[in-house]
Amino acid sequence: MASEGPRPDEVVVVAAHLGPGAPAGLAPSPSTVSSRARVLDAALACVARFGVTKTTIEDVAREARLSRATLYRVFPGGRDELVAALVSREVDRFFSVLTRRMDGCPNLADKLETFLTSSSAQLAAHDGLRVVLGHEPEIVLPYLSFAHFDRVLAVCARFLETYLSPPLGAEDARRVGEWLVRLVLSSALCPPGEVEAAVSLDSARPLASTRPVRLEEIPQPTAGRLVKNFLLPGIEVLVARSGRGSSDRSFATRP
Amino acid sequence: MARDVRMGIVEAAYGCVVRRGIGATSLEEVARAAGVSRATLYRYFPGGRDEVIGAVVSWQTLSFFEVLAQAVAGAPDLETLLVEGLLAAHRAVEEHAVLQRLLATEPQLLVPQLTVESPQIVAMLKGFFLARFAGHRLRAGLEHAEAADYVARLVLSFIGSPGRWDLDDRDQVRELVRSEIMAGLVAPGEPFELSAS
Repeated sequence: MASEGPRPDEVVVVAAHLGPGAPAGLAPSPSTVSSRARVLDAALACVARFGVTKTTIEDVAREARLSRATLYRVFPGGRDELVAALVSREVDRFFSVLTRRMDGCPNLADKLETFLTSSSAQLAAHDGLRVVLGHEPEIVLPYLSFAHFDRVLAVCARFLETYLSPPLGAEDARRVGEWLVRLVLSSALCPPGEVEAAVSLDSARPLASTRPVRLEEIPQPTAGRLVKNFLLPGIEVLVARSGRGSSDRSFATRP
Repeated sequence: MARDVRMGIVEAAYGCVVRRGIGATSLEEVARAAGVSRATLYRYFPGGRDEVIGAVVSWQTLSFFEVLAQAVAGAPDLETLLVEGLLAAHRAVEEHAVLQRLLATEPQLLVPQLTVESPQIVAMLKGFFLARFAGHRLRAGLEHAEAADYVARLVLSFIGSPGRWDLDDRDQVRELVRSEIMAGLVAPGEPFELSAS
């Protein structure tokens, strides 16, 4: 276990950008848009190398080949604003990739499967996230459990609602959206292989070493089985209960 | 005997965490509270402070699920077991003063430890459900281990984060169990009785 946590302000900043209604800031001028993207790219490269805590404004300026002054002009709030903007941009990218993939799906069953595979693949492939989870897990993990995870669920469920209603009503669609996110996080953070290898939990024999925390991609066959065996039967129950259409599973393959 | 000393240290360490939090609990303090020397403490916990804290979290997690298993021991069928289990677990998390205080004040110290242990927790819950699925016919094509793994993961997820579901409301919990948890196991309305255990 790490003996030091993230600075409280870092946690607050990251939290603000995981939550709904992140501050939009002032409308940037066209010239700052490109510097902004350049700085954020550099910041991501630094985080993927050093982690969040050890990345300094100087590191980012050097990586971006910009002066410190330029960097502070683009991000007057300095390091905290930069970290917050980076989190915000990466979250936006995550959802825009999902949008592209899911919009191309012919039916509900396909959309569900694509969400499971694409979201977990993106999380697993994110260089910055991998380094942060491996070396400073205390920055991210609190957002993936208990009450903070409820907020993450709510944000993702709002995104998923449009893909799930119809066949579901708005409230059911958000619940099913949360259900998908639960499955992604559980499979990614606690992969089947590690459950198989788990020794029994015993305070007399705690783990010899703490396993490195990482996120794993959900393989397509696993995602397909989750959809077929659990998600579609559950959605069928919700659809039948709300009296929306027949209680068969044809909604899954209808465009 | 060795186990008693070890358990005494773990209990003393829990007392320190309750009084002062995780970050402020030192090895010296644990040794003093347990009435053992530093050398003895290191003999049982070569990993030092982090290993002691890890053992405290394991012990408390195990106790949590042992109490939960007792609460649902008499359930006549799977739906009742899941509904009553989720209601009881949700209440236990909400009312667990120490857990709630640590989540509010030191989530960065507590949550990574719980995450590291999550495969153990899932494996334990999976074993619990697998034993109860034995002898039952599940939907065609669904394996018992796959079903137990799925139910274990969802139950754990809901115990931590209820999301949009009101887990104090028995009707909502029943609806949740019938749709998200059990619909894939057996056809709706099909009984899933449990033998007395």
